[in-house]
Parts: sequence; C-alpha cells; structure tokens
Amino acid sequence: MNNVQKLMSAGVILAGTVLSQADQDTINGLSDSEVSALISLKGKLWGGDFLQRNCNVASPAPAPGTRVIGIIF
Amino acid sequence: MNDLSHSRRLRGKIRLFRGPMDAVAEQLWSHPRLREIYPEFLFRNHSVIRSSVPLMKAAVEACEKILDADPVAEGMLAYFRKHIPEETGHDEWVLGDLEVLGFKREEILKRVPPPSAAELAGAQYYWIRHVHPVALLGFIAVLEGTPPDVKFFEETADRIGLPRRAFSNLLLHGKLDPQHRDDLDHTLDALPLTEAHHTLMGISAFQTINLLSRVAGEAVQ
Repeated sequence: MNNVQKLMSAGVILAGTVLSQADQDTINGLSDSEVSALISLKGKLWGGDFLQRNCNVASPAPAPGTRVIGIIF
Repeated sequence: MNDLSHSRRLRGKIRLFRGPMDAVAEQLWSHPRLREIYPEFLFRNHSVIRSSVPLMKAAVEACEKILDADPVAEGMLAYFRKHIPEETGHDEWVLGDLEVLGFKREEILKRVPPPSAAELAGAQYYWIRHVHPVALLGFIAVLEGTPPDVKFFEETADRIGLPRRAFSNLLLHGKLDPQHRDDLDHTLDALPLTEAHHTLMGISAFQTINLLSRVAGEAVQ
C-alpha cells in the first residue's frame, strides 16, 4: 500500500480525492514517520465536526488572495 | 532520489496538509462577531509570538553544541543569528494593537496563555533540545510561509469598525514576511539536509499546522 492509499485508508485524505501526479509524488515521498505523524494528528484535529466534515487534512493549495491565518512568527 | 529543492519539498508538504489551518482562518475572519473576537485572537497571537525569539535562541544553543560534528549547524546558525534581530520586538507590536483597543498590557501579560500555545512552543523545545534544531525550520516555514494579505486586513479592520492601528502586527508582517519566506527558502536550499532532516521538518510542520489551528480556533469557540 503506498502512502496515498494509507492516508486515504486512515481518512487523512478523503477517499475519492483526485490528486495530481506531483501531489501523489509528494505524498508517496513522505517517510513512514511523517505518515504516522499525519495519521496521529488527524485524531487530534481542532474543530470537531466542522473540520472533519468540511476539510480533510490534505487539501488543495489556497487560491491567490485566500485568507491567511494571521498568526505570524 | 528527490529532484525538488529542499525548500520546494517542505513547502509542498505544507501546501498539501494546511487545510485545517485555512479552515480556521476562514471561520475566524468571516465570523459575524469578529469585532468581539479579535482581541482574544490577538491575545493568542501574542501567546505564540512571545516564544518566537526564545525558540530561535534555543536553536542557536543547540546548533553551537553540534557545530563541530554536524554540517547543517553552521548554515542554521547564520540564519538564526540574522533572523533573531529581525523578529525581536514583534510581540510588542501585538501588545500595542491590544492597547489601541483599550487593553492594558500589564493585564495581558498577567493572563495565563492557552495550553494550546504552550503545546505549540513546547513541541519545538522538545525537538530542538532532544532531537535536532532543524525541526524549528519546519515551524517557521508554516508561520512565515503565507504572508498576510495587507489589503484584506485593512478592509477587515474597516468592515468591523476597528482602527487599522489595531491591526499593525498583521499589516507589518504582510510587508516583511515575503522577504522572510524567501530568506528561509534560500537557507534551506543551501543546507546539506538529509532525509532524516526532511522527515523532522515535515513532522514539525504538520504538528505546527495542527496546533496553530487549535490556538486560533479556540478564539472562535
């Protein structure tokens, strides 16, 4: 099972999500530790139903002008 | 073998998995009671930013300890030594924004920060001190990677009837962070990073996305 399949199976990426080849390559290039971290973090995602219903962990890049979370280093 | 630059690899991971953060941002900035929520957001903002320079100083200490043995340490030291003065005092900007809104800084500084902010900074101290300071670059890549849209925040201030002076932290970072983002990318691309470094930066970035979403999301709870 590759990383895309593992993350879909874990619900980190919504089943049926269409990913570009480049995005698949990025995800399949993640290490086992990174994949485990993502699966672990999914269980701790903030927001309860809102975030789990409306956005999975993986999502497309924000469009230009998309609001940016304003917590700046 | 990965053909992407170090910075493109890290940015690619952040882009793919930043959904929770963007969702919280959408919820926050479009909230019908944003005018009431904004001071709480600023308090949480301060809770995170007050740790930024201390975290970089912790990373400098860690790099100095491994300087002779670790080829990544020298480049990281140069980056942190440049960036620390650039970021010094930014927590004061947020306190200034709160003072514009009528809050006393002594009261803000007496208030206990949220545990989520402590977790966010605490995770980085763990990685820096017990694993490798390169983790902090994943953290910084998330926080400085998407500079605030200056026009959007000016319009937001106007829309909710708050003075633009109370958004100075966001507006100033909107102007500074494009360069900071580029500086980090140049640093990353010049470092002799291994796959282990990329794994740690990736995990640090994913954790930062999660915890930052909580710090900000709790303001709209």
